[in-house]
Amino acid sequence: MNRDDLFKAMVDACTEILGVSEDAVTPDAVLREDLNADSLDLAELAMAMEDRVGVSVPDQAFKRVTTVSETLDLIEQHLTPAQS
Amino acid sequence: MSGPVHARHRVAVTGLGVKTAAGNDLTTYWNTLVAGRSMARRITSFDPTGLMVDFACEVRDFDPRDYLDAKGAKRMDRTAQLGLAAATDALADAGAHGVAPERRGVVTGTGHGGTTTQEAEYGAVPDRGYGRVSPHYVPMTMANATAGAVSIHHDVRGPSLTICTACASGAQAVGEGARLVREGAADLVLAGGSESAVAPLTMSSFARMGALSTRTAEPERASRPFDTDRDGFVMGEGAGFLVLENWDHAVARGATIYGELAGYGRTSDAHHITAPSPDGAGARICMELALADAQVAADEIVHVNAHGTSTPLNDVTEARALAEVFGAGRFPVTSTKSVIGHLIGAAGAVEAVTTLLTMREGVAHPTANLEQLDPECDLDLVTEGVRKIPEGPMLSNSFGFGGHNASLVFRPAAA
Repeated sequence: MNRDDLFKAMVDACTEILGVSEDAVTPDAVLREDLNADSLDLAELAMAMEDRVGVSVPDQAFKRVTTVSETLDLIEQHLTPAQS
Repeated sequence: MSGPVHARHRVAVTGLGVKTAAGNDLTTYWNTLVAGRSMARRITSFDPTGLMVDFACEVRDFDPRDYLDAKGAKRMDRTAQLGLAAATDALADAGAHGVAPERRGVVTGTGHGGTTTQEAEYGAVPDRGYGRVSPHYVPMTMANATAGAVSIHHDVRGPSLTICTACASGAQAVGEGARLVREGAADLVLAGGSESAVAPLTMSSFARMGALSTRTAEPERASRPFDTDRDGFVMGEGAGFLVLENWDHAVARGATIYGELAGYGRTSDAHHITAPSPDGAGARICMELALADAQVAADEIVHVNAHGTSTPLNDVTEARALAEVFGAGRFPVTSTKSVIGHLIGAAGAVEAVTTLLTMREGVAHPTANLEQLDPECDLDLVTEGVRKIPEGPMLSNSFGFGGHNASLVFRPAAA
């Protein structure tokens, strides 16, 4: 799964869970401030991304990301060689 | 309006709101009650095929998006959605109150909490594993979810609490809300109940214990309180809220006052987890305490909105207790559950709203489906059309599983 695929999955998850428009989900968008996500949303988003991409990321790591691109960086780090 | 703790402020009811099978606004609700026809129908919120009891009184044409944005609605169980909506309507009905956020309170009642979400998520762990449980499960199912939602949406920063006493929850929420106003802890309290428990597991359990009417061939004839052919209650859903306001504050701002919440009684049966005490002592003493609290004599009461569930046991026990307190057939009695079913934790609040509308209209709505009065119930039931009621204090009863009893006494504003 390349970066573009990951980004598409993230746009998909954000529009569904956060109720934001696709245009709002830019790489630099700050999840809490720009996309109005709270702690419950972030927990749901983490679960949704794990399901969509098929990775497992420690919960604590998800709590440290602030932007869309940081989230994708984190997920990329946990992709197995076969997935990336 | 903040006074010494021992002072007892009078409590005005200045706003009402309902979400029920009989209507989602006060006018539609009252007109449906007056028509005296049960709203029980086959369940539509899920496929009830195979369920022992496949009918209920469901709230129709309710769109949470009228009160919440899409994300807010998705994160709230239907119980909280209905409760927040009814509370919002009640507050709008009360008009511009001008009470500061820290002087506002909220008390909500529910018997079950977020039942629909609970039942939808029962398979989460076995089906998807521990790691795939929604983070929203807890905030959506907790009993106090409605109180939290009302506080957030209406900037309530004073006391907030939730009463969970089964079918007495709604009446007790109203009673405990009144106490907050009386003692000066708040000048305005949103008090009420909400329940949406028309869900497969809960319905099946109520059916298995024999509490529900099994008249599946004729759902609209199933809820028949005090009738000889009654065979159980009909599940309802919905919410009712009252705005309880410091009397002097309400008068000073020229608010429309539906009535005074003058008395509140509560007792416990200490008898059985689901059955009422056969001697009706818990219910009787509860009513007597409410009368004493209101400083109203039994012979002043002009009308009672009965708990009247349509179960064989409740109705005869309640009738006996009513006769003991007030004398047999001394004033007209009606049961709102005949039309809207049993709203469990919302019932007492919706019936409090009904009692205040009865006071305003000067007539009591008929008890639907009452064809032959059970000779064991020595009461003057309102049937076949409305009955004119003289001006005076009225009482509303609620009795719950667990043996929780609550009675509320309302007095006309002019008195």
